[in-house]
Amino acid sequence: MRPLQFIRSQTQLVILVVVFLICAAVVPEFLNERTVLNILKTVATSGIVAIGLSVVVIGGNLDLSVGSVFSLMCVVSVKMQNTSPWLGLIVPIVLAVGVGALNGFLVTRFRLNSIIVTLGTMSVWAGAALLYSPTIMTVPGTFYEKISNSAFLGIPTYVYVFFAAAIVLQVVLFKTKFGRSLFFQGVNPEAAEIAGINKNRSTILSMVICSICVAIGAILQTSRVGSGYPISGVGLEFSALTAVLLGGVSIAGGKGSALRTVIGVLMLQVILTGMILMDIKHDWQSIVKGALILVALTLDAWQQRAAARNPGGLAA
Amino acid sequence: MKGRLRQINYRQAISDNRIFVFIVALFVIVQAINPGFITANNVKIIFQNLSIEGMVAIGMAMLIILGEIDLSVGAIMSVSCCVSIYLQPYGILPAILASIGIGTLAGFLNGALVVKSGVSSLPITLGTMGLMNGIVYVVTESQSVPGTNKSFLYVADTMIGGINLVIYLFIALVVVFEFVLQKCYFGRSIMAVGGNRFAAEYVGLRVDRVRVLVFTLTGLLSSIAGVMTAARYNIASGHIGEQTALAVITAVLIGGISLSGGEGSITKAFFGYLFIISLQNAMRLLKFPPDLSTIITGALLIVILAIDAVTIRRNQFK
Repeated sequence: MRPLQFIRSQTQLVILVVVFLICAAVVPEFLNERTVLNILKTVATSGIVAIGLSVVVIGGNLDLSVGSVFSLMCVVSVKMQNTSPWLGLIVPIVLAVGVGALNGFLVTRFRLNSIIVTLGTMSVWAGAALLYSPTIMTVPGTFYEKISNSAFLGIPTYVYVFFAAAIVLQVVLFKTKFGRSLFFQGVNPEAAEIAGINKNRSTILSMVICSICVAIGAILQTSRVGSGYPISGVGLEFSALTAVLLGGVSIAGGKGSALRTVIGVLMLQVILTGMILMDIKHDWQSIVKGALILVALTLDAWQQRAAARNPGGLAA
Repeated sequence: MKGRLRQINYRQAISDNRIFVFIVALFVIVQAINPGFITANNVKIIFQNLSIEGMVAIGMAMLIILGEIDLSVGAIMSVSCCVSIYLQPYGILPAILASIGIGTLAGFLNGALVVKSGVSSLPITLGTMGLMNGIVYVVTESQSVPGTNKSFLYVADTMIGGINLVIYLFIALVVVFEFVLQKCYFGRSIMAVGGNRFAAEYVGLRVDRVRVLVFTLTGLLSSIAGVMTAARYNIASGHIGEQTALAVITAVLIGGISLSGGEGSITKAFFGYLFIISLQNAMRLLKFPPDLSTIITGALLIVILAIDAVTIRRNQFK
């Protein structure tokens, strides 16, 4: 592959590098070891949610309940930790399988729009988290401290967990039958059905994977912060979707990858960190995220129209 | 004539108007448990709570009939409320006009973005929602900013015959938009586009213009709701309208308007929202924890959708 071709096919990576260089040029302390480490730490927890969400989006669905599920898993994990550290790890993940399966069941069994279904489950789990634990809870045991304090080569272990999850999902998406059928159904659900792909199964599976990722993210978050907060996931679906779209995953489905989402997550965090270091107020974050969603959406629509005009071209 | 009368399908008629069954059931059950439910005072409270976001429900009903959706309605409300509060020192009328103007413009931009980009309206309005919420957060610096002009409060709460002005305004809007939707060319075009966009285009309707116009009207209605919020609560905050989109979409769907578009009425949306507000009121009277009512609203949305999906499919295979 010629260099120019590679650059054109990796638009998001190029944008990430450019954004990073701009931030580094404007703010001198940006290239600091601490800043970069902080970006990686912040990215690790919310980033797992984003790569889980990207699996759902590739299949042509959307999950708006990730934020509420995140809140719920945070408080469940901390409460279970009171009984036994292992329960604090296992119960959220088992619950997540149920939560994801419920979303998937509602979408496939009743052929409902996933966005509306998850809008409903979003408020159900948000209420459940607050009902289960109305206030903030601190982590009593040392088990979480072990997770958050362990480090390898100066980088916390959970950062590796994030990248490992991304690589595993990348393999699942591109090397398994499930992954291929997910792309197929994302591009053209009718054709996928005619071709004999079990659409219901892959939809449910994608939503279960997403919820498991959310639970892992929640466990890492509680161990990093050292407490469970019943509204810690508010607005997370918004930033996760921003990251997914920035990574070049198409909202129409059928295009994207876990590693591209990692690029999107990094891009969003570099921009937000840059803003903080430039002393731009926290209030601006929502504006920037909203604008980035719109830019990413229009870029994607524009690319798809170009691809439709020029089948087999690079944009496809 | 006789033959036609006999053909009325009672089951169909009940399932088409199930919202009335829901409301009657709710009122009977709650009244039996707590006699304080149906009193002149409590019914007035229900209507006061209903009337502001109910205006948003009118717009959302038209959008869903059209086959679109708008998640940014709460954010538009919040922006208009904010503008009303900040422009109060310059007089009541300029503040109201500016708020409504900005809200309408926001609705128009939503519509234009959806039509021009070709992306579905959900992610687009998710983006504009974040954008507009963010603007309110920046302007108010994430604080609650109180209004300065006390006479602004009369905009919503002037009493005529013991009933607030805002309730009259809401009822008037319901009547006007119901007339437009059922009897006017524009309203029929909304139904046609929602039923089958390509067929509508084929017979020569200006589909894109209808779509942009309905988004604009929703912006207009949301901004009126925003002005009324400012007048009622006298405060600007980024938290205003956070739950509006979910509540209003649930109301429209519970009212019996199908997500697939093409049919429905403003009256159904009105009664759907009346049901939700009465339910919330009842849960407060019966001392349910507030978080439980969030859960119930969400669960209700899902259950209603599932019932809809099952009945629609059964009718298809008949």
